[in-house]
Amino acid sequence: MFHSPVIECQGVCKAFADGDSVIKAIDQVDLEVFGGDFICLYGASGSGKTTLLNLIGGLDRPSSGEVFLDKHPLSHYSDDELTDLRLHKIGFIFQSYNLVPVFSALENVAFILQMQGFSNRDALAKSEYILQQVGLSKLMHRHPAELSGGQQQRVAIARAIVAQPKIVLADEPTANLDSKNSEQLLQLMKQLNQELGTTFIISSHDPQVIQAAERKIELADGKIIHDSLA
Amino acid sequence: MSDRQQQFINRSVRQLAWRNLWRHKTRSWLTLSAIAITTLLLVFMLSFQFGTYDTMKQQNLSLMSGFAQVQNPEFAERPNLQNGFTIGKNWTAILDQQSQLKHYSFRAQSFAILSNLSDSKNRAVQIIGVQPQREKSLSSLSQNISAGNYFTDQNQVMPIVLGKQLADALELKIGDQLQLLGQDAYGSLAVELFTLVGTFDLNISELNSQLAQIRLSDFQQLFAYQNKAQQLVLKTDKLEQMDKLAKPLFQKLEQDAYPQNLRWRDWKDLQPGLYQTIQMDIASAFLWYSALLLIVVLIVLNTLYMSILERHNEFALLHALGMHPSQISRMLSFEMLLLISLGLLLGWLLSVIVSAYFMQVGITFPGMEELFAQFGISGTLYPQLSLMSLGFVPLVFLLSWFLMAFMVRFRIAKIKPLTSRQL
Repeated sequence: MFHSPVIECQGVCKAFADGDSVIKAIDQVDLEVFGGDFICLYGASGSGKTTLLNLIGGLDRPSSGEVFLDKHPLSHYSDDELTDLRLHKIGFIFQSYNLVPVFSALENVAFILQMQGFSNRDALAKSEYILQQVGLSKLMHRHPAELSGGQQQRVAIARAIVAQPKIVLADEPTANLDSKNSEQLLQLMKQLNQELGTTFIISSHDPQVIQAAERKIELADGKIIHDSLA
Repeated sequence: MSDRQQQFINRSVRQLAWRNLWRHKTRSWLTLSAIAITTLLLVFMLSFQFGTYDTMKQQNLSLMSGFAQVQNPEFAERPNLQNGFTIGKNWTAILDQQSQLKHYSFRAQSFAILSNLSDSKNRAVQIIGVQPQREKSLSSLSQNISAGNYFTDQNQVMPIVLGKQLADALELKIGDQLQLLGQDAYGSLAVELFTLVGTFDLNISELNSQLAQIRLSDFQQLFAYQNKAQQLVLKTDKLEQMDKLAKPLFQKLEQDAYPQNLRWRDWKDLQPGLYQTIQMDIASAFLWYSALLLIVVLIVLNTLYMSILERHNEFALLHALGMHPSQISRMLSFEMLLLISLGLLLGWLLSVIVSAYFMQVGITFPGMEELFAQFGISGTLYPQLSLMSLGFVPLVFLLSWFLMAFMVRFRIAKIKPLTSRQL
């Protein structure tokens, strides 16, 4: 663990209008995430886990407060700069895998590198290596529709880490998987976390994930009510 | 970012666009087919229409008027012997130097009364003095000789060729003599005996019953019109060549004929009825074609736009992963351009094959010959591929693509990155 936080939230609030009333999805959250952390955000539905993940990932902007990535305040970034930041520094894993259906597993992973300006050859070579790491070396030419849920999520993980981002944000990554696949996926993420030092922030209801996390942060009504190290 | 990196990115965007195109094969093929069939139909119909116009122009203008004429400026309004011109000394040399000018001939015309020798029948006619050898390659009249010949015997004294109906009305046979009574350029009587050497049948009643032709030299002698004419009739291989030739040739002729005033009359001026008929037909046809094209374009654009709207989450995902809205809209524009271009290419290919085939064999309309003859065209028509027939449909589709690309860009610019809440 490093001393300088990769992510820092200072008094972050996110409010949504709901008719005449205002709902505070995130309420005055202060948080520091360090390089190499393996964090699970947990809490009841509507507690603010996903909203917090979106704010950290630059997918959404806070109503007040500030999110820092490598000490740079995200509010100072334009939309285009935030897009570049997501491409280069943040990996995303979604509950529904969200792979590009017209691309093979290999192309899905390589696409991130190609969008960064890598040559086709370099991108494919690097992606092949990552897919081997996640155990999909024999399936890399299959399209998402030809893969199981667990396999698709592995591709999503490969896509998230292929560009060696500072941080990987995973939103309910095991929600659509059975317990066996969930376990395997969790082990894979932990392995990558330990081998590559990539920071993982996972939002989940899944007790397996909560148990596996080194740091557990519980949210309720948009506030952090519990933050503990394993 | 270096240019090379930018190239890699653009390539990836294009690759994704190409893959997306075939995501729903049936839909893409249906859209592509709609564009291809529309292109095929419209290119062929336009080619057929322009081919018909071409035939109409060729056949009408080849009958008498040629592709252009040089006249006295007053001749069009008052076509009498006073409104002629003196043939310039060097005109023949100037005309012979024009490589694109294939045929030319001088003519003079007047009105006269023709009578048979028994004086039992007479008719007022338009009498035209022509240069027979030149007219043979210039005017289709000489190819429609129904009896006798078209001034083939150069030793024949005062030969005359009449329309078939006119000869019948005067009860004349080939070899019969007839009397011409007219008024020369100075107002004196012009009287001469002519020998009927041929009759023509043009399927145009007015010409068959009212037209007579004699040699220009005889005309000039009879009507005191030495070295003068009223029309210099010009013809090139293709009508368009005359437009290029017109200005420099006319300048040279005018210089040589100074101080005479001359007037250049192109085919539109010579045959305003034909020109206006074609223009009106083009206008009404384009109205129909545009309506048809508009319907197809709107259907295609609607399909494309719907496919874009239903992929909103996918674009939001790409944006979340780090793709800029400008790159997404570029990808979509490229997708649409690919689809439209493939459809146009297929349609073009088919239309060129179909049109090329009918350009060779022609299209015949059995039983329509009489109707077509009224417009001076034969029963077989040939499509004519042109820049206009090939370019009209692609132009409309590409303009529509441009509009669509603008709409897509506007819409995608507002897209937000995918968040888990949207799933």
